[in-house]
Amino acid sequence: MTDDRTFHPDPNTPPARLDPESMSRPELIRAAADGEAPMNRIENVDRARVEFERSLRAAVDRVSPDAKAPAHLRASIERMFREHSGAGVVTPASGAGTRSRSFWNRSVGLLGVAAVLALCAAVVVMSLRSGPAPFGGHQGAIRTASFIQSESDDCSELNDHFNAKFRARSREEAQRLAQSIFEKVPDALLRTDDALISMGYEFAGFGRCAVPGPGRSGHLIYHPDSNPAEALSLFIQEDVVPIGIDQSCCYRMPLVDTTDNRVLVWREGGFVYYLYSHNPQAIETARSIFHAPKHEAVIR
Amino acid sequence: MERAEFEQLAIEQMDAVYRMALQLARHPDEASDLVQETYLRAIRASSRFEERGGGIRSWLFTILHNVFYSRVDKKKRAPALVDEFFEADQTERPPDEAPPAWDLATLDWDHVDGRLKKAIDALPEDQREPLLLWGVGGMKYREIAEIMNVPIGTVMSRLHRARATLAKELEEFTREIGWHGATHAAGTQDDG
Repeated sequence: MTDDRTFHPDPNTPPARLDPESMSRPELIRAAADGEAPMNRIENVDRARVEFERSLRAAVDRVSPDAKAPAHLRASIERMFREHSGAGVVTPASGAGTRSRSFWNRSVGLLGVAAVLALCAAVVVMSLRSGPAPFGGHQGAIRTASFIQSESDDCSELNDHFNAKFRARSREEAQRLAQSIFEKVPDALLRTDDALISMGYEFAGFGRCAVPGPGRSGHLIYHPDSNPAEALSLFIQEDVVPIGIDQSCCYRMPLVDTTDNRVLVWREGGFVYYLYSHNPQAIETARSIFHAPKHEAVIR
Repeated sequence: MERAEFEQLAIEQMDAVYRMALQLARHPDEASDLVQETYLRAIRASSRFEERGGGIRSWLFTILHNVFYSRVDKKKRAPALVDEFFEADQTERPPDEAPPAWDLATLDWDHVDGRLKKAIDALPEDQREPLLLWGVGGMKYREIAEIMNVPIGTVMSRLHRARATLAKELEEFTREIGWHGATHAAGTQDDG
């Protein structure tokens, strides 16, 4: 009858500090049920109570779902540990960019050309320099991109997983849910999606998600009216720790099984956005809708 | 404690923390959110873990408790808990409850699972959480008091009320199904 999944004393818990001598009778009964007082201190008449406590405890444990942490959550937390361990910590690539902008602002006439040149140079410099890599390195980037890909693919059809995850089924509901998750509505959820709708895509839902890395996250998904495999996903995550990507650039992320970089990531307004679809045309349309930076780089 | 050791201990507890989070939040995505934030705070405060001492599971549960209640509308929990906190103190004696009103020797706990689960789900939050920490999390009374930041007497009285509710529910159930062992013990063990 006894389910001992959780009843062994926690090996990391310090020894009991309770003194049976100073306990009242009810305290002694509970301490005995907790294993902190010996049963020989319990009067015969109270032993049934101790047994009741233990049986109830076992029953409470048994009737509560024995859920395990989902794989994506585990991966996310393990990544958090890596990012905070020092070796995997990445710092923002920002300093030089600030100085460049103030310089170029002096010459309004050259602004357009200069901006393009500066951004191109920044991309080249970022790709060549030996500083901290985005997502803590190639493997970190692959793990995150793979999560984005598989989670989007898993949600491309209206199955049980979809129904459990996407509790908001309209844009209004999505904004309300985003407000409750993030305490503000990300700009991406406020933009008009007419261009996607005219391509045959339909707003399918928005729900909480567990994108690897710290920061709460949500998943917005559009389903095409033809091929379900071409669903389009936008994952939104709070931008709470540096992930080593520059705010002025949109990055293509690496995937394990393909050289076709279909996962895009950028930062804007306190959020990190991950965009994914098998349909390149949908990606380009969505990039424009969600205001992803035009300049892009590839994370190697 | 080495960083790697802390990480290993914390990750070993992830299933237990998730399970507790799921009980509190009652939704898998919200549970994932809670666990993620719990671990983020734990990582940032890891130096305080050593200073505080004690088991890592109860420390993570403490953070989880704080994260969960920081997200819950304060109106939902404030009145009863605040009053209780100030009324209780460390020397409060737990109520000396009556023994269970059925014959434990004949009660088949496996048959009451469904009813028990329903009764647990229906408990007020301030009773449900200590019960789950005790039953599911494997925490002891004094650990629950630390996690919830209330005196141990408060934990005992909340668990007493939770047990009384569950016992009543189960007693009704045993009566409904004609459990003849029910109430037998009430007359023979009445020493409370």
